[in-house]
Amino acid sequence: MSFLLQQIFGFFKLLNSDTGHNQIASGIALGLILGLSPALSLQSVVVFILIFLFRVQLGAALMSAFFFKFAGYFLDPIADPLGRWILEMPSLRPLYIQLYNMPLVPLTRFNNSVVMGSGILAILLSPIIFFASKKTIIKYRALIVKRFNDSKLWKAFSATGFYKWYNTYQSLYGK
Amino acid sequence: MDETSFKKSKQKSFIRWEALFPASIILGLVIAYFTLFFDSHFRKGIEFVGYNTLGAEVNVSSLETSFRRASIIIRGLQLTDSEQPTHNLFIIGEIKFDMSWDALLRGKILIEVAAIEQIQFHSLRKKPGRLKPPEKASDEPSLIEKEGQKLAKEALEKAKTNYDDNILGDIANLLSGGSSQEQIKNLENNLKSKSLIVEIQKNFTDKQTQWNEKAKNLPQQKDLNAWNERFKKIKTNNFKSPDELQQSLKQFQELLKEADQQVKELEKTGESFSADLKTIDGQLKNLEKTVQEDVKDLEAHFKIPKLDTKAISNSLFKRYAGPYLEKLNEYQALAHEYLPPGLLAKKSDGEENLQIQPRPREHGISYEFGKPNSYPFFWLKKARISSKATPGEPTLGNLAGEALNITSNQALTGVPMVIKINGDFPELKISGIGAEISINHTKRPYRELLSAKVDAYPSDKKMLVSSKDIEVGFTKAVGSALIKASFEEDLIEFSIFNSFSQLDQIVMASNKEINDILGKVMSGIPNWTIEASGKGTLRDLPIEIKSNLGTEIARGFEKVLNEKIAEAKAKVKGIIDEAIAKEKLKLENEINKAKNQFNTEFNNVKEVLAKQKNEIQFKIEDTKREETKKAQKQIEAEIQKRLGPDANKKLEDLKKKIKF
Repeated sequence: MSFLLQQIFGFFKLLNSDTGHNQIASGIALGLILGLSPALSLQSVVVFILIFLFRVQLGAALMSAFFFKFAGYFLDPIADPLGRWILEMPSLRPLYIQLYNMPLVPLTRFNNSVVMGSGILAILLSPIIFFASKKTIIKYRALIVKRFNDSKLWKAFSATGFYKWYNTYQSLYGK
Repeated sequence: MDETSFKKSKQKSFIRWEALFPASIILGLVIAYFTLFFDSHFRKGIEFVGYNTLGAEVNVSSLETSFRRASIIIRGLQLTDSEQPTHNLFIIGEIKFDMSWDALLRGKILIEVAAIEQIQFHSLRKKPGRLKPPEKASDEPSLIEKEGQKLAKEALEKAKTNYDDNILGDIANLLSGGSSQEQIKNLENNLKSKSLIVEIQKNFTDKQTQWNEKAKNLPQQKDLNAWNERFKKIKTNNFKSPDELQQSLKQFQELLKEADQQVKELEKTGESFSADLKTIDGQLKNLEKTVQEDVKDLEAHFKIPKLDTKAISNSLFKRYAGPYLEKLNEYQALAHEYLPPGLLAKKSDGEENLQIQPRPREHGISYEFGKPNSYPFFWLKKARISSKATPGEPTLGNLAGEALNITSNQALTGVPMVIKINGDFPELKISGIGAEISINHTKRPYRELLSAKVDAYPSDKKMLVSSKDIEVGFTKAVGSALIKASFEEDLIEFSIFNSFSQLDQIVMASNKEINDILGKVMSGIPNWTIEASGKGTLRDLPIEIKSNLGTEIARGFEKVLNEKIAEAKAKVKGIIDEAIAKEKLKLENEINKAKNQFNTEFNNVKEVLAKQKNEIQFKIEDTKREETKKAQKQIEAEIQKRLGPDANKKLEDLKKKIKF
């Protein structure tokens, strides 16, 4: 639990800094894939490994996965017919037969209409979400964070001894 | 926040190397969990799921899994008998199987060989098993539940109606006397046919009034005479001019038109009369049917037994077979509640599509994209079943068998599922157990076959008839059973043959005559046989019960009862005759009289009209012909007069010239 909280605090800290917008955006995009995939599937494991292996902002990925897991329930009525349409395409049937009988691929559960539909939606939406969230973060930093940093209240607070002490602690022990 | 706060993160590499250590710790913990705790949790999981789905305590003594071999060994699987929680429904000593890693990596389960060993039935538990309390039913049942409940109710009603009589009790009742005169009077007044006949009579009287009204509008004799007078007055010869001829013809045409109109009117009345007669005939037929129903009701009231083998067998074995038949009816209702509609509907012939096998799921549809010789989602190729009797363990028997090709997609494997078991339970004195189940869904039509037999088993006390008048049954016997059933799509055919030998019979009747006859009959039947069979669909499965007891009892009671039955039937006939027959005959006579009268009148008028119509037509033709001839002669005379003495020659020349 503390690990989760740490990651979420880290996310807000990074969000309000000047760097790491790619880390956050890729975290949100990968979280989308994670949220729209079934929990027990090969693609979830792969995405999870990618999130851990690469320097993707974990808090952003977890929060995004949590959000899109819920959004996924509302997307099911679209994902199901989309998945059926794709899975019932006669031209793609030989490919599906090949994939279905290959090792590991069936563990993605691609043969389920909702999984296939959600997967396609996730693949199509993830680059859009990546660029959209990147742009949003940059705008957020330029408009809201900068305005906040320039506010008299923040300037007064950053001049206090407590803040200086926190800053020193953060530079010594913070990650 | 300033840049220095996150200076370190800027310098870090793209890959999160520092996560390797915590990841390896997590991996280590996962391995430790699977090594130390997984088996125990899996065992508890089976017990929990079993308890919740089957509604009775499920116990597993031990469970072992191996990741490397992908194997599972379950020992001491006990399932509590929900109807007798002190006992187990069965115990399986050991179940072990290895799954194929090749298939697992493809997301499928393939078990080459599984072993199911040491099976015990109905063994005593160390302590009574827990039973799941019944779930609180929801206030509003779903449509499917409603339909299921309706069918279950219908099935129970059907079972009750068919097996709610007691033929031996009826025989006793018949031999000991009948109903009083007052009761008979009451019965007469309550006959359905009696009220129906009153209704028909009323309807007939109304119709008769209508017919009389219509008959008044038909042409009467005076109309016909007047019409005849008009006909005679029309000039038919010696016309002075063509206008006069035309005048006569016009009068004839008018008369003909009137005749046609009268005939049409007459036919319309005839049609309406026929329709009314048809309705009355239908009502009379209905009356006949109602009379038959009343006869049946009266026979049931007087409990007149039918001395046929089938009725006696049905009646005798209602107590024995009733609960099983009720169960069967409940299963029929359940099948309708839960089986997919496709399974209950007729399928068209044709090859099964191997490639797409959609399996509906709660969320979406899972498709199976199989190809020949590929793995289906689940395939247990062979399960060996074995068990050896052990002294002191009466519920442990000698069993040997195998289950072949249990799979989720037979169209893909191309082989049917077959289960065969043979064995005996020597300590329970059960011998010659044999069962074979074959399920063939490789192609349409789907076929399932079941055959099972038990050569001998001890049977405890069973009562076929138990009423205040009569008791028939046995205290102990040795039974044998043979069951055969086949399902082809939604068509079911089954037969169950049960026989009991070495009987310690109970035969008692309060009526001395019955007691003597029954005692004599039953002592001559050393073995009792019962055969139940049926053929139909799940929704409509008629069941027939035959037994040698039926034949023998019918024969035994034949002489003494035939007389009594004839007497009782005569009584019923008397009631019907008294209440209905006379009235019915009277009504039929009245109807026939009315029918004849109307038909005679109708036909007479019709005949006269037709005759007069023919006469007019003949007159018209005749007048036209005569006048034409006359006119022709006049023209010829005029021509001869104008052409002179050689008129004939000139006329012939002219004809030649104009090629006449």
